[in-house]
Amino acid sequence: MIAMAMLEAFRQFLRDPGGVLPRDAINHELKPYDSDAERAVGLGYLDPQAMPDDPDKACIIGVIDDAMPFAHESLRTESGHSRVAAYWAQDAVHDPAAPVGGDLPSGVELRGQMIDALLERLGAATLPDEDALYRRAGTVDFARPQRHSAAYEAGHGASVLGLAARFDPWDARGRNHPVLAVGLPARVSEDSMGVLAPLYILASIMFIITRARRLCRMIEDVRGLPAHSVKMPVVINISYGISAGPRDGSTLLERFIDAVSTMQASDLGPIRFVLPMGNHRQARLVGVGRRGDQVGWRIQPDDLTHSAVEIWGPRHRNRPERPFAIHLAAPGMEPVATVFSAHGQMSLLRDATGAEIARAYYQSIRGEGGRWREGITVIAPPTCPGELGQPYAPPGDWAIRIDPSAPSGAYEISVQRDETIHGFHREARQSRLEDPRYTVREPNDRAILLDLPSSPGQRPIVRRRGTISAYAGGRAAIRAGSANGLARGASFYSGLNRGGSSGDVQTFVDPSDARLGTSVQGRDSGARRYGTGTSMSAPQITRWLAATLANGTVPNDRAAAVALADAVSRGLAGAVPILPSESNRPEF
Amino acid sequence: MSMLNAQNAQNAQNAQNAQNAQNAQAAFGGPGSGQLSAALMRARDAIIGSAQVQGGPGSPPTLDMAARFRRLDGDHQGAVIAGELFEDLSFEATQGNPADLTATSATILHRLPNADPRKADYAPLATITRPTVDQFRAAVTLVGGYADLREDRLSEILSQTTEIIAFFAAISPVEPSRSKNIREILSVGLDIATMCVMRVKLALGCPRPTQFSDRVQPMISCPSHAAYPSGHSTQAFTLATLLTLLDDPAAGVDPESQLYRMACRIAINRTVAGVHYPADSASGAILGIQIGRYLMARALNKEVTSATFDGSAFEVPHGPRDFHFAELQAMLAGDATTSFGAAQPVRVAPLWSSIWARASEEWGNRWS
Amino acid sequence: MELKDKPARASWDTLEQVFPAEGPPMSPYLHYFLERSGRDSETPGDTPPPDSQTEEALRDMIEGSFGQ
Repeated sequence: MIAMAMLEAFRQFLRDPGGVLPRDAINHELKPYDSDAERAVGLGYLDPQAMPDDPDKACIIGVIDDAMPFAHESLRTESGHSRVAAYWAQDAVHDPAAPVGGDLPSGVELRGQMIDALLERLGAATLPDEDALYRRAGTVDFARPQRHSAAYEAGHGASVLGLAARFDPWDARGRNHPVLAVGLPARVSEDSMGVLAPLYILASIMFIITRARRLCRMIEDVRGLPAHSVKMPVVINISYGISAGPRDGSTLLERFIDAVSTMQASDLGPIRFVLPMGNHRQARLVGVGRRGDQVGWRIQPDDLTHSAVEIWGPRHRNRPERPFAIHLAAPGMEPVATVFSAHGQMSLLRDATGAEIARAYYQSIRGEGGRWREGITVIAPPTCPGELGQPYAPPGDWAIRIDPSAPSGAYEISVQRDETIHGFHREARQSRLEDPRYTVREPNDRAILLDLPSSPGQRPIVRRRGTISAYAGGRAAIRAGSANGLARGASFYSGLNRGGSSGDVQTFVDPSDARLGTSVQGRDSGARRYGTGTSMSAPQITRWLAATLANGTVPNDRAAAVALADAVSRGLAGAVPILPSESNRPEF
Repeated sequence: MSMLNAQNAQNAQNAQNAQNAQNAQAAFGGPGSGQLSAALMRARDAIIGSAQVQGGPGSPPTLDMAARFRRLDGDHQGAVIAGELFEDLSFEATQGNPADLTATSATILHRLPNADPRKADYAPLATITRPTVDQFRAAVTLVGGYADLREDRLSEILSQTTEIIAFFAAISPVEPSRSKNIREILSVGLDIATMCVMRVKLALGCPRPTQFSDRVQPMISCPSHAAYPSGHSTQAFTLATLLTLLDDPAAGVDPESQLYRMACRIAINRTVAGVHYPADSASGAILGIQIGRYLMARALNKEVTSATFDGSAFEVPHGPRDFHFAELQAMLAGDATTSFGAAQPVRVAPLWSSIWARASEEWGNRWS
Repeated sequence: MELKDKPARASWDTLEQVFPAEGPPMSPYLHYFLERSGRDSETPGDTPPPDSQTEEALRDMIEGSFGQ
């Protein structure tokens, strides 16, 4: 069942619906995987000197992110070989004659021994520096029509990969953690809403799983071990998130992560996932209301990207026959009720001149336990068009009201994230909910960490609870929260699940509220900068989990992982555990 | 060179240039160079002897007025040009109610050519009508909404308090050393725009957003003159129009072009800063475009059409109207706010024309 | 004057079946992107079948990952 849905998703990948891939990145001659190529000289996953001494004490680290520096010094062994067994740059120019990667829908694959060849040239100075290496590899090319995030010194991918998988070359532990990484297309990271990402993330997970299995086979080959005896586990870090969705594990990405986490393959170890909680606790993006309730939706002026809000209804045993309605009022206009009649419909909101100022989609989906939920997604065009002739919406306070005759129960209203990560186009503007009952800060100007108590009938619609990333609603993934060193508790921005907890496991990311950020790697060896956010916490948890699995301890589910973290927690008792930081200081 | 003081955008830059010119002069014995004067006096005493000073034969001039004009130094050239251009402009203000202390609309008039140089008839160049107090009040909410962009626009807003030519020079290559006359045109454009918009602002006397709400809290100090139209918008659109018409005198306004998008952005930045409403940007745009067109017309002896902008119609049903390049397109296409009238001739300005001709030549040589 | 007394009206016109009524959940954002980018007007659920080689390669990849 899920395989069919995946197949459909892959078809969509090849159709490239978001126009995400440059034309020359697409692979038009998809071939089956070529296992002979693995044994060819210079095309293998790892040089034997980079392989784990004992595969039973190893765990693969998988990272899916924006362009990553696979040739970084912290990913090499003392012998100068790459620990990165395979790197897939999804939007690099595809070469049909390339010896590897013909089974991938797009881009370029670099195997560890291919990276070794580049590193050797770097060492011999026929490649002058790491920048030249990435250009030679094809992952940096300023002539191509995309954002050149692979060239950014302070790239997101560089910091995440470093936190998850760095080891000093002379640190023997490094070889116990081979790396499989996928660089998502720049356009996916550029999409301020993050809604194009799931297809490419799914394909990335597929890549990591297939390559992980082949890496195990290669180690067996080289070491003369019995077939299927090497079953390394894999921890996959996905430091991406969105802020709107059903948050109940029903999306394809969530279901796939859950399914992969529970499967037992005969030729690979357990696979675990780590996702960030998200940074939107204070952003006023999430609300919960009942039928008849109304909340404001403030859309910013001069916003060149569209804005979206999703309303998800309560669970029903059967698919509702009559779709619920919302009343939407644009600034200065009367509210108008939607008129959906079936799943899969779209409706356009036009003003008196006939111009489109918003649209809405209605869906009813079957989720956990076979229960049905209805969802309406409202998308408003930019408030300043990117080009003349495109529609634009009026900025200001819109109003969303749940129809009073909608089925009773809780309605979750969440605004989709609409902001850019460092280095990308800055023309996205985050819209948010407006609620006069919501208190933004304490009277002494401190951030409010949890929703304030309120009397019945006075409860704000906008919440801090339930701000967890909408990729992280499944059952299996470990959700990473950011912790604050001074408070020994969650950072004020770190998302909360519905129950008010800041994730499953946390790591220290921010020394204090006033000084946010932890030291992270830049793209080039030696460069460092500061990075904050739960995206920086997830890879630290990935690293810890990989070390745990390498030691032979396999948490069977999320609760087991949390228990392991609890045992070493540096946080307060009874709270979400905080892992101890790895010391950066040399020990004498 | 500019004669106006340094408080307007760009005039600060010009004031700096003027100061440099003065310093150069001082090195040659201008005011403040006492030592040189003393030396000149002493040396003269020593070498002229005792005979009375007698004049030698003279010669008639060999240069016409335009050529003599071009030899003037910066400040004086600027004074002559501004005079030549401004002597053809006049103002008219209309009050809705004779008892009102502010006008409802203000018109800039331009002088028509006439065989009798002592007879002056005028035609309208631009008529700007103001919004009502209630409409301004409603627009304050938009100004508040734009405040969210302040952090993002900080460097632009601060730079643009004193310098906007640089933003256009980034688009059209007009480096000072090889575009002296183009730069002169832009500088004069700014001055004329300032003189026009200040008269209109004074006549209409419109309140600033800070007067309606103490929560606007602009991020730059709010100027003491009236709000509508926006001086920055008028200047920015004058510059965009001058550069566009220098390249092609028959060009219309393309809101999507980089020059006009930059003008829109400079205008909008003032709303972000908290000192203007979107209507100020819109009226400034029409005024600036008209000033640019008029200046080209006087250089090339072309006709210019009149334009009106009705700020009291600048709204959307039940609310204030926003301003950006798509709204500009709607205005130019002819909506309730903006209309263009019949073309009228102008009096040619010979000295200004000579500068424009040289600027055109500089522009034509930009590939060399 | 009269126009100001009447509140502005918008309306939800156009009701289109953009995803199959009995189909799996689809992404409204992808539909919006498709439309905005002026690409294929066919709905995401309505793709032509890929050629058999692609289908087989994809199936191998997916089923392979489940260890079947």
